[in-house]
Formats: sequence, structure tokens, C-alpha cells
Amino acid sequence: MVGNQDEIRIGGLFELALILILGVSCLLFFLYVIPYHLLYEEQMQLFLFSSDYFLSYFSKPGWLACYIGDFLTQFYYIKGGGAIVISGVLGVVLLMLFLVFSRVGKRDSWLYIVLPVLALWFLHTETNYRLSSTIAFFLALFFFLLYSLIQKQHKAGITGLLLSIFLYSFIGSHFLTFIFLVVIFDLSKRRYSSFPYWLFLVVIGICCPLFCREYYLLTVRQAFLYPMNTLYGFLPSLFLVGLFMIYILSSDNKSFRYQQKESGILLLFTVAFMAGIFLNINQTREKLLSLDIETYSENWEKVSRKAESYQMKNPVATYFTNIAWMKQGILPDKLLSCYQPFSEGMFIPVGPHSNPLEITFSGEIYYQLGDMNMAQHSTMLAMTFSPQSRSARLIKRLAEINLVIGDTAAVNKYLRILDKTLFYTSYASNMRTIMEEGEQNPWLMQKRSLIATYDTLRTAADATASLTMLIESNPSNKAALDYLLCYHLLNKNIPSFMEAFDKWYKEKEYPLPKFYSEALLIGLAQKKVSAKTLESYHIPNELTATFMTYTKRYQEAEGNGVGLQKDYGDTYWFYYHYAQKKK
Amino acid sequence: MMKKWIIHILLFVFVFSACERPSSIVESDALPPIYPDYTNIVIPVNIAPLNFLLRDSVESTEIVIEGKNNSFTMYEDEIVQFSEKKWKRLVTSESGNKITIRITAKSNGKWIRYAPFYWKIVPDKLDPYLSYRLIEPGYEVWNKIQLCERRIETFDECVLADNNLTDGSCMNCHIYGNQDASLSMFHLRGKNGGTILNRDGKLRKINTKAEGQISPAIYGNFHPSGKYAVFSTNTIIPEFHSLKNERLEVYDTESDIIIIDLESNKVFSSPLLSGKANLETFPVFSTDGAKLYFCTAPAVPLPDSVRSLKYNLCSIDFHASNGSFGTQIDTLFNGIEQNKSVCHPKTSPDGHFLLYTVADYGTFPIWHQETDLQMIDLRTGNIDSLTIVNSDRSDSYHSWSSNSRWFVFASKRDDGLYGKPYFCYVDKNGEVHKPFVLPQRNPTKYDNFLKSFNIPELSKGPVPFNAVDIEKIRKEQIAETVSNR
Repeated sequence: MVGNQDEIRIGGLFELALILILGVSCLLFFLYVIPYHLLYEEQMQLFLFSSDYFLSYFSKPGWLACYIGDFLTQFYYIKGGGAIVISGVLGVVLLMLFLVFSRVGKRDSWLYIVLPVLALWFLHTETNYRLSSTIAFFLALFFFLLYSLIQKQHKAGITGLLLSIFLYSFIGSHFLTFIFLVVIFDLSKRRYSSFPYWLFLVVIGICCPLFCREYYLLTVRQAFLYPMNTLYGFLPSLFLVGLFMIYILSSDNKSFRYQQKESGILLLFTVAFMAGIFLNINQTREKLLSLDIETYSENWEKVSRKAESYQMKNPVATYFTNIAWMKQGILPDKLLSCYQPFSEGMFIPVGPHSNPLEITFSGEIYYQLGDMNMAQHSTMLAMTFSPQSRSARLIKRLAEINLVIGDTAAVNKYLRILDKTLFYTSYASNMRTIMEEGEQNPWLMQKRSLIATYDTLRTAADATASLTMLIESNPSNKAALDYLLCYHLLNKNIPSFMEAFDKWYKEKEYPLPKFYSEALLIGLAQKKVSAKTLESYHIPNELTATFMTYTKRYQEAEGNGVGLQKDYGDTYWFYYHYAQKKK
Repeated sequence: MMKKWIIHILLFVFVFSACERPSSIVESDALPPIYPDYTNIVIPVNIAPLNFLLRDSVESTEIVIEGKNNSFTMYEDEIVQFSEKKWKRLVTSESGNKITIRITAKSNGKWIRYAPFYWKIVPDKLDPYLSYRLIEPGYEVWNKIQLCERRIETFDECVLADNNLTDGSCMNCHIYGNQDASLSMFHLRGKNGGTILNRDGKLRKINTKAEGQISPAIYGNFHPSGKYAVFSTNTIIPEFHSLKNERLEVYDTESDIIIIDLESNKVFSSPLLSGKANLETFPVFSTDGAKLYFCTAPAVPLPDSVRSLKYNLCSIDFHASNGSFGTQIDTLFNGIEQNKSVCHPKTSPDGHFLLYTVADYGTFPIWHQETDLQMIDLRTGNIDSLTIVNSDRSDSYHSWSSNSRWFVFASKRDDGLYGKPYFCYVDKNGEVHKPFVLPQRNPTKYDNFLKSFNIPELSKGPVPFNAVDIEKIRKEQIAETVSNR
């Protein structure tokens, strides 16, 4: 494309290749490197096609950017949708930057516009960075472009002032980006007589958030940042303003020109920035999100596989692993084959210092076990602490919980909300079908077979009370029984393990897992039971003999486990004697 | 010219697709499927438009309003919203009359004419302001809490306090003295918190925990003189049920009643209102201030005996002149005999009635589905079980309008989870009428809303402070202290 003197020339092979590589990299990055992160973002928001929902956006600054951003975020639901949406939006921002650059007058060095886009890409690797912020940045550029088209200086000045006042409502804190761009643009065009307008613009930039925060009920910091959470959100603006400043400073001595040497520098910078993006990814969080989302989708084998491949020493990763093993019925067999920080990987305690991710994860175990009141409590909490206190995933979960406990009025409340979404209407209609089918529906019948049949009171942190209640309600709930027994094992609480085993496990025709046998041998030895009693537990004789050998060697080792680890490192006996809680 | 035609055609299509006229009508004896349920109710002359929606996939609706002095027909889709001006004209011109509403709706291609229903418009006004706390029903932990004030004559709502501006601290109920917005208070918990007392717009922050007290002030009420406020002090334990009916149980392991002299910041009590043997809570003054009503139960081992925790409704004399109590406790409602537990007593401003909540047991009826309201006629001692008012879900916290003709209460009757404010008319004979929910500009609001309207309280005027004032007082003012008398 060749334009006149005021336009930019595109066509250099290097520029096009770089843009193309960046675009494809961006798409692949969001598609394959952090796909769960985007799915999670979609699950934690709820976009409704409803007038009162739309009006709710006016209660905070940046309603237009937030509405568009949230509208687009719902498409992350589709596989690959998040990658396409973000890449597409970044592409449009790039185009807008190109147009903006052309207005400022850079004809040769337009490729520098990739820098703000790289900054946006970087920001999108954070779960708490909303697409709305990128849209706000885009709209700031768009309105600046409109401003830059006004030729007459005073007309432009007045338009800039008026726009900036409204822009806070439309795009939130990125109206400051608009203000900076206007001032810099005027400077670049040597409109020095616009100085009074600049002063007014700066005053508006400072006063508008301060005055409006009373209406929007925001703190001073929030008023200058919304819809962003941190100052990092201004990174693309900083790059852009920096580029313009360099342009202005360099326009006299003509040194800011796009030359071959600079292309190399730019390429290096881009590569370094992309490496920074990759390095910046919170791998732990991404892995946890992958385990969470696969757990939510009940892909138990996938969760086990992923967990085994990750080999994470993280209680939350262990939590998901334990749930998956429990659902596959292999928890007691595999228990000590992954990192087990005592019982911290069995339940996620929720307290004042818990982060929103932990709160969201905490309800899954109760839901899978059948303790629906605790599952509902955790889900309500997660909803409360979700970014906008409304989440599609959590609404779905609340509908499911209430369907299982038979509270149809509550189910209808949640399904009516989902009816107003783009992607969850079929889910709502499926749930209504299940509701009509009642106990004829296998899923509902299975879920209802696990729930409490009697009432008891317990604190939120009392996991054993919850498990005991579930087992007593449904003695055939083997998953809950295994979970309780493993919970005691991990806490080295042999008396409670023995009590629960004797009460609910011993007389059933369940197979005897190795770890249970090993723990029983400890418990029976502590009780010094008779041979007849020992026989009643059906522990293989070879294992009893190995236990005797282990005990002898343990006594000889006098507390030093190094020598025992090789032969007994995978036994419960070794865990019982040598596992220690990190302080 | 072409463009003009297109615009006209589009306008015609738009207007007539939205406002289709009924044809081939099928008659039905059923009431229309409207939400909220505004069928056959008594409404005050000063209520905001009762906008509603129709369920059952309704596409078009004809609404015929027939009054003695004012009648009109509207054509809407499934959402029926009255213009505020038109509504004002209707309720003003029909004050004292019964108006009939006939709805014909098109559902699945068929027009159905439903049975008509009425709205009886009474000239007895409802206090025009309603305050409430908006909170997610998260049982135990909070994140975003707002204390709001809604003008019930319009749809205007303002925020009195927002915990986003107070470092996320918890806020308890906002209550008025004598339904007067120039005297009100609420507790702001956490760091830099205290009880915020508003007197004629001047805000004070008071640390209400005196030495030896169980806790800072919890449930409270103003003396009619405004000089005193009475509170319970409680050790509150939240625990979870396992069955669906009652999600959360909150009980007190100890509780007493105290009075704070708001002029001298002195705290006092009576041995009859404190001590370990009994749990005392929910204190309120009588309309003339000469009595103190409260709930009390003998202490039982908790949580094991929580189901036998039955609170009685009692009273004791109070002498405002010297801040002293009577020597005898009278029992108005014996919880143990009735196998019920009483909470939230409130006397009507004319002193004729005492409204309270009854549940099967305990002191936290919000999550008890069986919770109902009851009303004692203090002149005769007769108890009205308020059958027409109560639902099969929790109907709990309430407050009176200053003319004693209306009360508002929180009910979870829609979905069992999210409380909403309902208004109920008490006529001059003391007869109560079917309640109706606070109207909203867009009736879908309740469908989409994920917060509970907590502790609804009526007042005659707007409070003279806002959320930023609360932010300032929290940051800038040191809490006054109280001491034992």
C-alpha cells in the first residue's frame, strides 16, 4: 500500500513478517500455553442479555469498555474462543495504533506500535486483568483518533475537554491515556496556544475521578485505576506515550527514523519481550487451573494424568489429585504416591486470608462427596469473592446443588439467570429436563444417594464431622469412607482410623488396600491384640512378616530413617514414623 | 423519499410487533402468571409503580386498568412497566378505591384472558423511605456490603455506607429511632470501627464495649426519648446444618442486655437482664419507653441441645427518668410451653401491637424455613398468627411504619435464599392483608439479583449522611468509649 505524504507506507517484508509472526504466536500462546486461564476467566463472569444487567454497568466508570469487554469474554467459553478473541482484539488495537501513529506523523517508524500491543499481551497473562481494560485502551485510541481529525485548534481544544469529561464514564481510567495523547499530539503539532486547554485537561484528569468516586463508591486508588486493579494496567499507555515523547524530541534532529539498525533492535526487543511474557506466566497457577477445570468437568483420568505429570508439591494440586483418585476408587491404593502435606491436601480451609482461587476450589470436594450444604456454602462464598460477584460456573453449581437437595424454587432462580446468557441456555433446559424426570434421572439418583439423611451441626472447618455424617447417612458411600480413612491416615491418627475402620469397613466385602493393612498393623500392634483378632482383619501374612522386619529395623535405626527409606519408603509405616509437617 | 418510507415501515413494525392486540381469546379462571405476585393486594397511595412481568413465555400483553375515576389500557410485551406520572395519577385519583386489572396475554401463539385481580389503594401512607443492607447470602463471610436507602414512592436508591470504602469491614443493620431519619445508627465492625450514631446529621463513632461486657453492642433499639439505646451483647457461634432445610444455625453461648446513655456514654444493666443462667437478646423499648421487651431462654448445652433452645418473649419496666428497671419480668409468650422460639419483637408506634418472629428453636430464624411472623394485640393480649402474611419460607425481620398502618418484613418466600422486603397493611381494625414486595423499576431485577435485602427499616425521611461521610468518620474520627455506670 502506498499512500500520500501524510500516510504510512506498509509493505516492507520485515514489518509484515514480524506482525504475522506476532499474531500467530499470540494465537498459539493463548490457545496452547494458557488455555485454562482464559476458560477460568469466562467461568468467573456472567454476561446476561437483560436491560437491568446492562444498566448495572453504569454503577462503575468505564461502562462501555466493561460491557464490550465482558460481552467478548463470554466467547472464551468456546474452545479456542479466548485465543481468537484476545488475538483479534490485539490485532484491532494494533490497527488503531497504526492509524494513531499516522496522525502523529510517523511514517517510517510505525513498527514501534507493536510495543504497546506486547504490553497488552503481557497483561493478559494475569487472571485478574480484564479484557475490558484492553477495550478501554482501544477506545481511548479511537477517541483520540477522532480528536486528531479536528483541524481547527480551538474546536479541537473544546472537543478534547468535552470528550475527556464523558470518557471517564465510558472507558474509566484510560481516559487519562486519552488526555496524555491529546497533550502530546498538540505538542507534536506545535499547537502551543492550546496550553490553557491542556491545563483544563490535566485538571479534569485529576478531578474527574476524585469527584465521581462518590457516585461510583470507589476509593481514590480505585477511582484512578478502574476497570484495572493495578498500575501495571497503564503499561501500554506508558509505552505509547513514551514513543510519542521520543518522536517529539527526535523530530528536530531527525534521529528517530526507522532504519535497518533499528529494525534489529526492535526485533531483539520484541523477542526479549515475548520471552518475558513466557517467563512471566505463573506456571503453578496455570497448572492448578488446569486441574480445577478438568475436575469441574469430572475428567478424573485426565486430572490424575496431569497431576502425575506435574509432580507438584502443592497442597491444592494434591487436593485435586485426591478428589480424582477418590472418584476413581483408587485413593487408598495411591494415597502416598504423590506429595501429601498431611491432611492439607484433603480439604481446602477457607478463612479471612484465603485467596479467591482457593475459595472457588474449596467446594468441589463437598460436592463430590455429597455434603451439599457445605458445597453450597463454599460456592456462595466463591461467588461472593468472584471478580464481579457473579459467575456462570458458580451459578450452574448452585443450580445443581439445589436440584440435588430438591429445592426447586432455588433451582428456578438460577436457571432463569442462565436463560439470559448466550451459552448456558441449553444447560438450563437440560437441568429443567432432569428436574422433570426427578429420580428417574440416573445422574440425579446417584447424587441424591450420597446426601445427608439426618441433621447435625458442625463448624465449617470440621471435616471429620462432615465425612462421618455422610457415612452414617449412607453406609454404602465408600468414597466418603475412603476419604475419612485416608484423612486419619495422613494425620497419623491411628486410633480414629481403627475406630472408623472397625465401624464401617471391616464387615464389608471391600478389598483391603495395602496402606490400610499397613496402618492396621500399626494400630493392632499398639493395642497388642491377640492372633485371633489379627486374623479377623484378613491382612496377608507376608505383609505381617514384613511389618515385623520393619519394626525390628526401625528399632535398630534409633530414629534414623535413611537406611529404611530404600526398602520401606513407599509404606505407610515409613510415612507414620518419618513424615513431618513443615513449619 | 425511499429512506423516509423505510423509517415509517420500521416504526410501524416495531410499534405493532411489541403492542399486538388480542384476538381469538381463550378465557381462563386462573390468575395471570405475574411476578412479583401483585394480585389482590392492598397498596398505599404513595407506592411506586407496581411493575411486573409475566412468566410462561408470554410474548404480548394487554393490561386493562379499571378504576372509578381513572381507567386505561396498555399494550406491552412480557414486562409491564407503568410510567411514573401515569401511575401517580392513577393512585391519587383512586385513593380509597379498588381498581381492577384485567390481563390478556399471548403465550405460545394463543391469547389467554386471565381472571381479573384488584389493587385496593388506601390513603394510609407508608413511610416513604426504606433502608436495608444488601449482602450476598454467604452465611458466614462477607465481601461486598452496602447499606442502602430506597425511596418507596419512586425507584431512587442511595447508598448510605459501602464497605468498599471502609476496607471491606462488616456492617450491621441500620436502625432508626421512632422511624425518624434524624436519629439512626449502625455498627461498623473491624479496625477503626464502632457504632455510628447519626443525630441530626452529626455523626459519632462509639466503641460500645465497656469493661466486663461480653461483646460490643449487637442487636439494638432506641428509647423514644433518644437519650438511651438498648443492646444485646452476645457471643455468637455460627455452625452448619447438614440437611437442606436450615442451612446455617447461629446461636449464642452467652448473651446479656445493656443500656447505653448516649449523652453520658455510661452503660448499665440489671441482674434480671444479665447472668449466665439465661440468654437475653433482641431488646426493644415500648412505644412510650416505659417497658423493655426482650427475648430470653434458659441456657442449655450447645450445640447439642440447640433444638431445645426456646426463647420467651418478656418485658420489664424501665424508668427513663433515672435509668432504672422494674423488679419483675413478665412473660408475654412462653416459648417452652408453645414449643416455639421468639425473636425480633417490635412495638407499633401507636402502642397497640407487638410484632415478632417465631421459629421452632434458636435465635437465628433467617435460615429457618418455618419462621413466621406473629402479632400480639397489647390491649387484649390476643395473638394473631398472621396466616395471610406468612409463607412456607422464612418471614423474619420487620419494622413498622410511623402511622402503625404498615409494616415491612424480610421474606425468602420466592426462592428460599434471597430475602426481599414485603409490605403488609394493618387496617384500623387490626386486620392484616396480603403482603407485596417492594416494586422495582425493572421487574426482572429480583430474578437477576444475587443479594439479600437484609433488615428492612422504614423511616419518615432520608438520612442526612452518605457513604463518603462514613468513609471519613471511619478514617478520621477516634471512637468514643463507654464505661460502666
